[in-house]
Amino acid sequence: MNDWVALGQFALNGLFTSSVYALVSLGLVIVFGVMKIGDFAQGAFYVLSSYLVFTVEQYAGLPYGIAALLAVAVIAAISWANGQLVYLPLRRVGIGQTFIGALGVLLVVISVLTLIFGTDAQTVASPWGSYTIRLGGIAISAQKALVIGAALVLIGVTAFLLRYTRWGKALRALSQNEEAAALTGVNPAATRGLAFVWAGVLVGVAGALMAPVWPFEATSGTLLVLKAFAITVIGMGRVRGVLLGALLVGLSETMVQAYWSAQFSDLIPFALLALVMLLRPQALGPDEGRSAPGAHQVQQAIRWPGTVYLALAAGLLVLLSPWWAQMDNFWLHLLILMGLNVIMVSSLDLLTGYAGIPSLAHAGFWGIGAYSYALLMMRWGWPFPAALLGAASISSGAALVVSLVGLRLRQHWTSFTFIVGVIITMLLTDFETVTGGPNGLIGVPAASFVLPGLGPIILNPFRDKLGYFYLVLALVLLVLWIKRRIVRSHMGQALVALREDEGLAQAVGVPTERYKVGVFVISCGLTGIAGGLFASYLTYLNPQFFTFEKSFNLLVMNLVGGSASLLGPVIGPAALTLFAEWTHAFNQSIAEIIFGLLLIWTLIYLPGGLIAGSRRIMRKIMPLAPASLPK
Amino acid sequence: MMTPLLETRRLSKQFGGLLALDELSFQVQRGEILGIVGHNGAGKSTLFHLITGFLRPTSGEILFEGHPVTAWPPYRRVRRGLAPTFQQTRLFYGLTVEENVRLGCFTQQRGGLRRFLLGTPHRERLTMQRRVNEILALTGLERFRAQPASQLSSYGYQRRLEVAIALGSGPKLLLLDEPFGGLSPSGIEEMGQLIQTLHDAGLTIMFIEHRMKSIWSYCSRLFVMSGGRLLIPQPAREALHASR
Repeated sequence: MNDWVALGQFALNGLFTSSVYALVSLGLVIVFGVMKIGDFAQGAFYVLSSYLVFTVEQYAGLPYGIAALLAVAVIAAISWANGQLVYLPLRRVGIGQTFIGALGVLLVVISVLTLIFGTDAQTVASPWGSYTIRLGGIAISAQKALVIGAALVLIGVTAFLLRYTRWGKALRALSQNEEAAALTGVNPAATRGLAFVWAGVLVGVAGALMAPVWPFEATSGTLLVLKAFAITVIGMGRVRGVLLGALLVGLSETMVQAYWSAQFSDLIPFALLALVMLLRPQALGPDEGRSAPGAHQVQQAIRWPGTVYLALAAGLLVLLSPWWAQMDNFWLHLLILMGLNVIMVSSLDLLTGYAGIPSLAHAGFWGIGAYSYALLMMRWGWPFPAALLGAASISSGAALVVSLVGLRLRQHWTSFTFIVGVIITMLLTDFETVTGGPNGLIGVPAASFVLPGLGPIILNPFRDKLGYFYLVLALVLLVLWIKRRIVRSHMGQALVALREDEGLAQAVGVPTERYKVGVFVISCGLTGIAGGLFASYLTYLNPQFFTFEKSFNLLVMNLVGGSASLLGPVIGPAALTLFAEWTHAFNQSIAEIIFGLLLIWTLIYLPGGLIAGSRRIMRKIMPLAPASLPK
Repeated sequence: MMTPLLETRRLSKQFGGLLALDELSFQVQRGEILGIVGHNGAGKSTLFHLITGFLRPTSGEILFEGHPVTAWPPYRRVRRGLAPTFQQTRLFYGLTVEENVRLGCFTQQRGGLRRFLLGTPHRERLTMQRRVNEILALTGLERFRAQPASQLSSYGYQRRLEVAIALGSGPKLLLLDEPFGGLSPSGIEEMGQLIQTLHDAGLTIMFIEHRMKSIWSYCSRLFVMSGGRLLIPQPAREALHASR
């Protein structure tokens, strides 16, 4: 084949990929306009659409065209219902919670699909068979051509709707300023409802048309929606920008795959995104925005358990040692996992709960800690305590670089951390020579140290669960103590000021940038310790442990337990680790469905988490004299 | 002659094609209440943001107690004794009134490893509490101390709390951005009295305002701004007459 013909072929393939990206990204842009969140649930709706086509064809025996139309209609309805039932109630709680809720819906739908259809990839036969359109030496299957055609038509229709119809104008007004739009006679509820419907249509069409092109499974939409989100940010939230972004990403992915390597091609959208964020941070579409004064959750003046209580708790735990000692390995294993989660969530809470800096990269830094520990031990033979400290330092160092870069982005910080998390996982997977790639590292050395009076101790993670339990417990107490000291110190004040209002924090003399970097570095360092401990306990590592889903889980544990407190991030991980173990006993998918639903329920109905809920119950049981508040 | 507390030298600020401030030079003397009035777009807010450090000038210099602070970020100026409030009221809405004032006192507290490990010494905590109480008493917010700032009933109280937060850092110069804006006539009077009280306690105060009529009696000197320049400074009463 002639070089130019090959180039043409690749360009056409790129155009095809771009069409899919454009459809999904447009859906995201429309929802972003009214909700100010990346609607990750659309990733699940995309696959759901493919599965609907599959089911209708397979079991109702209807032709592909009708199946596709039905699927689009159903997806539009589901997207609408999701908006009404999940996003709107969550929006009253906060933007961060809406974002988490979207991820929750993604998780639930994927699990439902896995439960019904299993993990095998499914295919749908194309109505055109293997008919290919040829233009010179360039070929494209009829179905792919249809995808490109449909994308072009839908892009045109969307642009027309946004520009010339009442709904489009209302939508644009709403995305600028909700109150002002309402004053000019825009009906926010109806406009929003239609936005969800139209996003559903776009994503539904993409899913239905893609079903015959590639085999699909329940998780097929996840990476797609992540890329689409990156594209919406690259395109600065505007229709034209998003189309350009989709084209840029689709073409460069195809070209990199064709001429270089398929290894890193999935990184491209995120690399482009990072580039845009660095070069033009000010132009990245609308602010994620501070919530209005009225919408603030009033933070209870938090009564911290004093050092005395912490010491009492430690004493109690030691007193219970005979009880631990007779526990079987299963429970000890569970307690160890709980302890590791408590360290991670407590450190995350310092960042998210106290300083109000959300992070979706926390599991990534946990992974950096874990891999650093493993490599320091395996390659350079560092002693255990030194490797653990090394893991914390390397994690902190990475956090320092990330936060120094990310600080410039201000309101796009959340998206940035999300991308950082994705990139860390990809790097762990792609740098095979160092990290062992997708196979991970095997044979990570376990903990060994010298205790005064007891001599050298080598812990075997399979036999000495009790020893490991004590080690983890000691570190949990240490981390909780550090956290408590930070919160009570001068720094704690600065963090709260930062969370409440960054501008005002500067006006009372807080060097906000320094504290932002500082708390990020400390938080990631603490989670790095948990990473090292985790590596030594598990003795093998795999990039899949440290994906953004894990970061998401950590955030959930934090929110469910209650943020900005000492006990919330202990109760949350403990409860959810137990819960996960209990539900895993019967079925992984059911477990995740319950988990996702519980999460959404908690976000809507128990905004302060379990800790706030239990305080409320305690107050009902033992009503203290209510603090008299003068009017 | 004593160095002025605050001095600007040929301060200019250009936004694209718009010259918001045009080589503006003026001084704030210790112990005065300086008002700057002007219509919308006169450059008052720009001047204010340049002094607080939230904007950087295109050219010119700002000196505080004779030290150039032009390139300093806002928090450094606060530490040096320059405390601002905002035109649109900004409070730590999620916290109680008392916690707001406590955060205002941020620069008065000390960090360091020893305090991190052992906690703040009891005596320091007492001093801090006394300071918070004094500020609450001075601004008349004592009875609201346990109330969340977002639930402060009147706008006048919110503005007072804003001043209380600014007082926390122990400023030498209090910068108020339209402190009377949006207040009722009685609210204006109360704010004026508060400013007078603070002045009597030895504080130098500078504020900007777009209405002259209701506030001229509260300042010792009044500048009128227009088109990014200052009209000739005069004592307040004469300025009022001149503008008529």
